[in-house]
Order: sequence, then C-alpha cells, then structure tokens
Amino acid sequence: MKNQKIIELINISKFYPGNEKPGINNVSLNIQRGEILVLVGSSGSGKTTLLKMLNRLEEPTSGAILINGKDIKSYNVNELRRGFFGYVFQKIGLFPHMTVKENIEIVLRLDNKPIIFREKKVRELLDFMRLSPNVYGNRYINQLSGGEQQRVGVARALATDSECLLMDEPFGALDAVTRCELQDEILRLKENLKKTIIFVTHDISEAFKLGDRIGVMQNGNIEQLGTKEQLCEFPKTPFVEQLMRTGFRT
Amino acid sequence: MEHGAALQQKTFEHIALAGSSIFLASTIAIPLGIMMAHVPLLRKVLLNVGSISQTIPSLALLAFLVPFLGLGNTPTLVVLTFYALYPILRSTVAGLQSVPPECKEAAEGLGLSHFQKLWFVELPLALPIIMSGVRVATAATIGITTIAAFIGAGGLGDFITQGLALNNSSLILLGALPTALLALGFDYALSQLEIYLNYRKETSLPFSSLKKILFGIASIILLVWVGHSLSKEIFFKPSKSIVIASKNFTEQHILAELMAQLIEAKTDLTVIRKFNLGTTVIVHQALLRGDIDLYPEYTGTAYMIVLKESWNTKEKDILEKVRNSYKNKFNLLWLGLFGFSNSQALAVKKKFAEDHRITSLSELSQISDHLKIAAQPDTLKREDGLPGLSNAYGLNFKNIMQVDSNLLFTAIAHEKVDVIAVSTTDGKLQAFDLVTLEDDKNFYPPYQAAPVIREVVLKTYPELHQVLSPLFGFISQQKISKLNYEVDVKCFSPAEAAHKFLLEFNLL
Repeated sequence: MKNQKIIELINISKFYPGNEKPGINNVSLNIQRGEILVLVGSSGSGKTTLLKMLNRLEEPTSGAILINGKDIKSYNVNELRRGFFGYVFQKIGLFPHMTVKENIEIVLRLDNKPIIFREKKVRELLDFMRLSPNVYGNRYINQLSGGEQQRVGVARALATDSECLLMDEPFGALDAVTRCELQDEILRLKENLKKTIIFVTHDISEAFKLGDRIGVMQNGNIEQLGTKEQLCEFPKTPFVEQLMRTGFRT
Repeated sequence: MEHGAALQQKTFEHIALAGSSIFLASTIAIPLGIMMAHVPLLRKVLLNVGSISQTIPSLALLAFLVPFLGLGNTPTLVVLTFYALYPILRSTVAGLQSVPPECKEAAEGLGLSHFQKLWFVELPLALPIIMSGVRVATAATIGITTIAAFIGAGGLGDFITQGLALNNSSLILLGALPTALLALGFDYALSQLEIYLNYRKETSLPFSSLKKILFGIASIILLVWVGHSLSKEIFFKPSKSIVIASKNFTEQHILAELMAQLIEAKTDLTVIRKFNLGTTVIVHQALLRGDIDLYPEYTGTAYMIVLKESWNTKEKDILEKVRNSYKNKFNLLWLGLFGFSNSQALAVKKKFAEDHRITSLSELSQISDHLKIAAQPDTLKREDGLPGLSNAYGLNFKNIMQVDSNLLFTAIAHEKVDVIAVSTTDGKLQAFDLVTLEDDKNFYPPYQAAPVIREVVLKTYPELHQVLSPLFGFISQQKISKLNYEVDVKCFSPAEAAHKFLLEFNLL
C-alpha cells in the first residue's frame, strides 16, 4: 500500500476574473496513501485554494485532479465530500443549534444509518478525541472551549470513515498549549487510523512537526516539495532557504 | 354582560381571520424569502415593492378588491395576507443572511445537498429572526383585522364600527380593548416561542412531540373552520333569501331594519342582514356584484358620489336623473322615496326663530352679524359646507366656533352660540327643541332617502314592492328624527326602535 498514489494533481491553474496573476499556477502534485502532506505558505500563497479544490469547494480553471486514478468530476460531489474527504477548517463551523452528538452524527443521519450505529460511532469518536461522551455528548457548542470545539470538529470529519482528511489551518485560532495537544492527536490519528491527511498551515514549526512531506507555496506555485530534511539541507530556491532560516514574517 | 356571547363570537372570528392570514402569509413569504436570499435581483426588487406596498391604506385596498372578490372573508383574507407578507419576507431574508458563513461552508464541506443545507442548517439558524417577523406581522394583523367590519366579515371591528355609527363609546371600547389585548397576548406568546426556538439559549430544547401534535391539531381546526366559513360564503345561500345592507350610521341601520322586519313579517323570504358596511363605494360595488340586494340610499349621495355629477343649485330635482342612470347603467331600481331628506342645515332654537321671525337662511342673513355659530371642523372647512353657504347667502357671523359634533347641542342649549350646523334628520334637534332654517336658495343638494334594489331581485320577488310600499312617503322628517333620537339618545338598538315604530303605526 505504501507509496500508492491516492490523489494526483495535474497542471492545475486557477485564474480569478479581472486578475492576470493566477491564484494557482500550473501545480502538479501526487499525494501518497497514508501520508501527511503539509502545504505551508503565507496568506495569499494559494494553499487553501489548492486544498479546497480537492473537495470541490473551489474549481480549477484548467488541469485535472484524479482520485484513485479517476477524474474527480466522475464522482458525485456530495458523495465525494461525505465518503472520501473529511473536512476541518479554522473557523470550525460547528452548528450552534445542535448538540455535540448531533453535530458529529449529522451526515450519518442524512445517510439513514441506524440509531444504534450512530450512538456507537459518536461514543467512539468522542472517546478517541479524549472528550467523555457522557459529559460532552449533549452539550451545545457555546458550552465548549475553543480546543474542545475543534476536537468535536475533527470528530465530525472522521464520522464517515473517509479515507482522507482535509485540514485548513485547523489550529490557527487556538492557544499554543491546546494547539500542541491537538497536533499530537493528529499524529496519533494518522498512526491508529491510517488516514491520508492534507494539512494547510502558515506555521513552519507545525509543518515540521506533522509533515511526512512538506510543500512550500508562494504566489500560487509550489516552490519545493520534500521531507523536512530535504528542505533544510537542499533548499531549491532562495525563498525556501530564507524560510528555513527565519520562518514567515507575519 | 349583555354582549358576552357576541364578544366571544367576534373574538373567535377575529382570531380566525388574523390567524389564517398569518398562516397564508407565512406559507407564501417564507419560501419566497428563501428564494430571495439566494437571488439578489429578486431580493432587491421585491423588498422595494414590499416596502411601498405597506404604504397603501388598507381600507382603500379593501374597497378596490370588493368589485372582484365581493364582501366577507375572501377580500379580508387577501388584504390581511397582503399586509403580513412584507414583515415575514424581510425577516426571512434577514434571518438567512445572518447565518454564519462558516456554518454554510461546513455544511457544504460535509457534503450536504442544497436542500439539506437549507433544511438542517440555514433555516434552524434563521428561525428566531423569521419568528420575530411573524410576530411583528401578527400584532399588526390583529390590529388591521378590525377593517373586516367594513365589508361584513365580522371580528372585533364590528363593535368599533357599530360604536362609531351609533355614537356609543362603550361599544367602541368593547371592540378596541380586546383587540389590543389580543395583539399584546399574541405578541407575548410568540416572543416566548421565539426564546424557546433560539439556539443561543442554553435551555433551548426542541418541542416535545405532544406539543407538536397539539399545535398541529389547533392549526388544522383553525384551517377547517376558515375553509368551512369561506365555502359557506361562496357556495351556500338559502334558496329564497334577500340580502339587505346598510352603511355605517344610525339612520341607515334604522331604515334597513324597517325594511328587513317588514319583509320578514309579510313574506316567506329569509332576510340576511349585512349591516354597517364601510363606505358608499363598498356598498355600491357589493350591490353591483349581487352580494347584497337592497339598501337605503340618498339621492344627493348617489348623484355626486356614485354618478360623480357635480351639484348645480339651479337643479330642482335630481331624483329622475338618478333613477334613470341607475336603471340604465347598473340595472338598479330606486323604489319610492321614504319621504324625508337627510341634508345639511343651520338650526336655531324654536323660541329664537319665533322671536326674530325667521324661517329661512335668507332671513337669517339679515341679522347674522349679531350672531354666533358653532359647527364641526369639517363643515367649517369644506367648500360645500359653511364657507360656500356663507357666500351663497351673504352670511357674516360675529363669531364662528369649531366644536365636536357631540358638543354642538350642548353649546346651543347653554346659549354659548345662537346657530349650529346640523344634519336635518338629527334626533337631537327635537330633544333640544331646535328648528332648521329653510335652504331657500337650494344651496344644498337634496338627500332624499329611498330603497335601492337590484332589478333581477325585484323581478324574482315582485311582491317586495307591495311589501315595502307602506314606508314610501310615510317617514317624514319628524318621524326619522324621532327614530334617530331613540337610538342616539335613548340608546335603543336600531332593531328595537324599528320594531316599536312598525307596531306603533300598525304596519306589521
């Protein structure tokens, strides 16, 4: 299974109307099953756009995306989002009118999964995210801390047992300690559940901690793609070299 | 309390009318609002049109609809629904726009379809704001529902318009207070519901299923009741019946009652009373549509308001003109004149008239510069009121007082003024021992009263002419004034006063 291509991006470009410079400039990229690929870059570098193309929240202007070797457009978009990708993003987007349990099980409910199955799944996922199901299951979102909310957010993304997790700066709004805890959860999650994870961040140390491979993005291009050792020892461009020394100036 | 049963019934009618309009408005406005939230152009256009629509006076809209929809529940529901649409539309749009963008993105990212996103995420989050719009619409609608009385659809407005017509302030309050209480009550109940539905409240719990069922049953009962009464209105009419109408003032009620009671006594027709209707125009349109068959009208009103002719003082008699135009244009017949004219006049104390030997306005003008006059505000201002009259006769009063109609008679009784402007059939003229002065230059058009009936109805029931004929030429100025007096001053109901009159003169 190792080193098998699960997602393939071929010559992806994205232009915005009234803007000559592309948002994404002819990017090609393979994602291997079971790896954590981190896209790192400053805001406006195109990393979030690239991520959202994978579950079709954004569409490329040109180029092709293959999922398991088949064109992304041959999949039903909602089935793709439910069954193949879990999606976690910085603003979390939990539904405030539902309890923790209802938030996690919503897609299962829409798929008419039996209630016993849903109950069991919610308990498993809350346990896995280290939230006691009895304490948290019936709480509303505004009764949770930011860290707890994002744990629920991850649990919701895991509910459908999708192969792949898309994470868009999921911990950007959290304090350093909580963020560190959650980063450890992601590593554990990869280890235990064998998920493929595409992770977007602007924090180079987060990228180093999580990434099997790291893609450095700048102005819609992938400047360099490689392990952290490759990036540190053989930076391909001055930008990457500079980044390895100083991080982003934000 | 004598009005207890009526109050209960009117309140029920009121709630049913207002409730079903809100229900109708919600079923139209919420889906439309959802469309508008997603289509900016539609939103822009409809919100603007909607806000303009709110400025149309409700009574004007009602009068406009009568020719198409007739009298009763249908046009009332249309008008009420129309006014409730805008607040609900607005709040639906505002509610959907208030849904946090991250919740929408999460819903899309989770793979919810458009409909699922709307149903499971957007609508629940928008619901508190939508409910606040429904609440505003409900309070407003309960208030506007009082106009139902103008076209005979019932509700608490009946008390208000009857109270206004019969100059009875406790009747007005009997309508106005429960209306206000209803509006406040519903507002409170819906505000509680709004809190209940608000997800931000930690106590927020979904409705228990029992409450859902009860709520459902209540809505169904309401709908069935409205549907039933609507269908009754549309499909059910007793086979041998005649609908008698009146406008909304005392004299009209009395005349209509006199005719109704005679017909009930002398024929086997069922009389349906649609009294207290809003304006001349509404009654006329209802007559043209055949919603009503018979009502008392005045020649001057028919001439100027219905036929839209202007009054020329050289015109001696307009009755023939009115009679011909009504028959040719509308297939409506004027039956025999009752025998009096309800016109405007100036009145003085009987003793004053004798002392100064005046019987006409021309004579009054000789001494008017020593005299004080009181009149209602509109009589003072209108060109066909005191200003025109003063020009025609060269009247030049020492002092002119603006006084409310109820206080006119008190003012002359206490000799604060010498002359008052009144209606010639006012019941209080007799009570206060006043005489009216003759309009010897024909300044005022004649307002001779007579029944107007649909030609087809008279053809179907030709006996009606015979039955009503004892009233023709029989109700003198004095008799109608006395009848008005019985109702306005002695507080008999129009039906009681009419019955007494018919018995007194052996007409039954």
